[in-house]
Amino acid sequence: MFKESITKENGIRSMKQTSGTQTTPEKDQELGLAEVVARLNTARKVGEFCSCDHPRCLAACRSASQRAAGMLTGSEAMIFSGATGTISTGGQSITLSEPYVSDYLSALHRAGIDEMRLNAEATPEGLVRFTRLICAADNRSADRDEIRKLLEGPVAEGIRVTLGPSARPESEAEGNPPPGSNVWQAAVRRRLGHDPAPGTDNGDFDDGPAVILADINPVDLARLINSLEIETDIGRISARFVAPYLEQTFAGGLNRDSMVPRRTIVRFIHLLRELSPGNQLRFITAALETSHSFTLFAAAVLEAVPIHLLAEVFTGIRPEEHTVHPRIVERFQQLVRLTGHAERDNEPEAAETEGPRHDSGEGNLLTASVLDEMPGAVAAAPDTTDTGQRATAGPGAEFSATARRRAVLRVLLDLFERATSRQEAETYAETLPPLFSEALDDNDLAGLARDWTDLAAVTARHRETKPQLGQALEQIRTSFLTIQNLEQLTVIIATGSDEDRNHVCRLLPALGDRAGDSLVLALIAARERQHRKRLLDAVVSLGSRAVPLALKRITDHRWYVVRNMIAIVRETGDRQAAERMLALSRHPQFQVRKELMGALLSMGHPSGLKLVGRGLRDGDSKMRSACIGLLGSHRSTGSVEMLLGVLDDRTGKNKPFSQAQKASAIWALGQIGDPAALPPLHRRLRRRRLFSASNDHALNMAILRSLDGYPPEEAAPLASWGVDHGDDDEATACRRLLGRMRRRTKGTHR
Amino acid sequence: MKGTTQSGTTARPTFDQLFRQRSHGFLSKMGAWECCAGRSIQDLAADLVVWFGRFPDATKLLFRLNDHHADSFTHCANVCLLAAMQAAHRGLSHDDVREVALAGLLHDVGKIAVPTDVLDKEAPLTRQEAARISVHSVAGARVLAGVSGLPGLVLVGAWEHHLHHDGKGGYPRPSRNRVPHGVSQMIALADFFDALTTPKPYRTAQPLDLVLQMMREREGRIFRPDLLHSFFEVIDAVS
Repeated sequence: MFKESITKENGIRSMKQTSGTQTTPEKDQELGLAEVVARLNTARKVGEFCSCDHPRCLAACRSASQRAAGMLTGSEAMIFSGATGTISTGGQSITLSEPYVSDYLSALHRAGIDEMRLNAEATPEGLVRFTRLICAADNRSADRDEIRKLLEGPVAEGIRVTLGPSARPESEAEGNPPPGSNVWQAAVRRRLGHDPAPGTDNGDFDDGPAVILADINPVDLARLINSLEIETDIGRISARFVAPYLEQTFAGGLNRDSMVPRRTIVRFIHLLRELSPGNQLRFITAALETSHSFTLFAAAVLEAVPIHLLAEVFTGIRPEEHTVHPRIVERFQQLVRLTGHAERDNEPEAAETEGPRHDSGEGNLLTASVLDEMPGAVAAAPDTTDTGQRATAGPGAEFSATARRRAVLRVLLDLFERATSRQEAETYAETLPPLFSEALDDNDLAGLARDWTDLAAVTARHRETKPQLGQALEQIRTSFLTIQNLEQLTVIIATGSDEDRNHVCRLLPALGDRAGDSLVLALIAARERQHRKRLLDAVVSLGSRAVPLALKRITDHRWYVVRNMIAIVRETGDRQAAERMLALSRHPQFQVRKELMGALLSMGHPSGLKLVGRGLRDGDSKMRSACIGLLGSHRSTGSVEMLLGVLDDRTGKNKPFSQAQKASAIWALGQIGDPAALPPLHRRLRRRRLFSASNDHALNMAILRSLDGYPPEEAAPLASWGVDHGDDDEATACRRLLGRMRRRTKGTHR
Repeated sequence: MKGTTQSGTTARPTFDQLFRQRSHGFLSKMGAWECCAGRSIQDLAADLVVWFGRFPDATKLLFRLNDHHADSFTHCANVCLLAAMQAAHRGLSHDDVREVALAGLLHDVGKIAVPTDVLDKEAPLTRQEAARISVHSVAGARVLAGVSGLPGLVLVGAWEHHLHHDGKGGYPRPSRNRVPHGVSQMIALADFFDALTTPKPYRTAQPLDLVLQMMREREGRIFRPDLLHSFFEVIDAVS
């Protein structure tokens, strides 16, 4: 067993191989990252680590890593935790992140990291790296428990304190800066290129979040914030940075002297898009409080947050439920009106020809230069007809990026299938994510979807024997799931060519609930009927996965959203979900009740007919007509009695059915074609009222026309009766009907 | 022919020298060719050999191939130039021409895995020997997949250059019907042409007319028609 001790030789820390017991870590000394890496490398040598897959080498590496981590102080461990990239050791590259993350985490746990206050002890770099580590690890089940352990303890509290409302610890505000705060401020100044003379700092500088914003992938950071349910004021802080900049941008072009780097703004917008609605609301509220020019800032908000998310934020969270100043509420409502969603509530079908703003590209107020820096962000809908097909003409077509990628992918998959060792399979699997990243960079989503299909097929074939490809697939999936990409997918589904749409729809199930959620949101925001239809089809193609997404929103206060969700459940045919929708039978909006009845009828749910029966007895004439129409569309023999009841005016205490409704019921009976309805109809034909001949005539004609829907052998006697006893019009109609019946029974066609 | 040894008195040639030395015969035969931009084959070769220097790992493999079987290296150099000529003739961009050339140069690097006695055998090959030769495309792709920084088309060319255009034949047996990439077809044409017009231990060089006739017979099945016609235009320009 090897034991290590730390010595200082020529000013450089190193670990030496000694015998005896392990020494106590030097907690009071700080190490730089380079030294920690050097220490790690030495530890690896101690463990006789090599990068092969042999179990002995893996175990050696693991124990060496744990020993190295165990010797670090809290802040050093933070730095150490950031060493999850590739470290070169004597020309040999070792990737640390994959199998060892849980070891690192448990080592950090043991090293007492959860006893420290992150905001006090950790350097910004440490926090950034720690966050990265968590973000990188949270998809692997083996690491989840370790992360949970860390996040349940004071570490999470540390992150909350750092990112939350009190970004500046109280002790600092009282003139007693905690350890590490100087490092924060220095780091911020370095990042922002802003280095005021010593002593001139006015203390009004919310630095931590700014550094984090500059250093961490905003999508990852948002995920962390969302997962910890931090009620962060990063929006407030960032708004203070960004608002003046954006306003200047809109007011008079780009102000290049602004102290906020453009990159920070771009990242900020990304972060904002990814934050939870609660945090987005906080941001918006803060923005409205701090903004000098409300309209301009509102425009910025509209640009920063996708329109359907905004709709979700605005209407899903009631500002009146939050303790904000009435002025803010007023401004908030003003912002809602600006988005046009308030009008949408009242006139859902009014603007069929207008697309949402993010579709049409109109009203994009951010300058193109800023948008250009946002990967995947598009000011207007991408030209999906051109997706992945840019160079299909001419001799260079097959040398286009898409064609190359596809050719290389096919070869790599073939190589993977023939791989004879785990290491070889890993080599090929590792080369795949970059190919997909390239496709993403090129916005070649249709090509990506096509390639994904191939990859998934090979993965499924070799799931047991070669799991490496599955890991690559997961990695690709994770990198793919950004808001921007999902938005683009929805745009392709709504407006793309049939081929592209099919590719994307094949991709959707693999992308999971987040993609489904994005589609549902887009469905809610879509204004054109055709787009809604396509999006609805795409959601339904998810099958049973779509049901929870829909059920989540059936309590939405917007009736058209509820109606769409009912439509989703209806298309999936999930009867269990239908039970949960029954509560909507008392929904105040007629369209929702109507959609619900239609859904229940089409799903064969017994409550369907009950609700329709109730609807027929309803005092509302519109509801009665709708119910009759539904029964006709439903074509169930179980509804014949109800329809005959319409003809007999069985309405309870309500007023009788109109002639149009009765005619509609007769048509519905014809649609059903149940011979059991013929005797009552015959009785009705024979009953002539002296003083209402014109009305009876119309209904009689309706009955005779509806006979087409019944079996000819059953309907023929009634038609013959009409020829003999009807007036001229009725007799003519019956003769034609009999002719048609004869031709039909003989099997001749015109 | 073996390369120089470490203890030998003669210094090992650089890749540049080796390439020029081996492609000298081909360059003299093709001296009359000029691409659309008016560049001669010598200019093109000079440009390519400088560019190949950016891939030291790949050139190491080629040195190994030269040490293993010098004729294969010469063949690779010829295929490289013929593929580049086709690409240039079809009006591909300068970068694409370079990549096609590199793919041609490395297409047979998998022959390192084939014993020389099989490669040089004068008698007809047995089934087992033919199978051993046919692994070279997979072996080449395997080796090249481990070399970082190479353009992806190099891998494609090495894997697919014996696949038929109709997607039904050739080797390695395709896992699904697929049409090989254009770069693989350019290499396949150059490979076929150079293999038949060069003398081998087991047969003499075939006359040009006969070779072109044989290629024509394989049009549509093994070779893609538009690329075959383009190849004929290149050969016409030279002859």
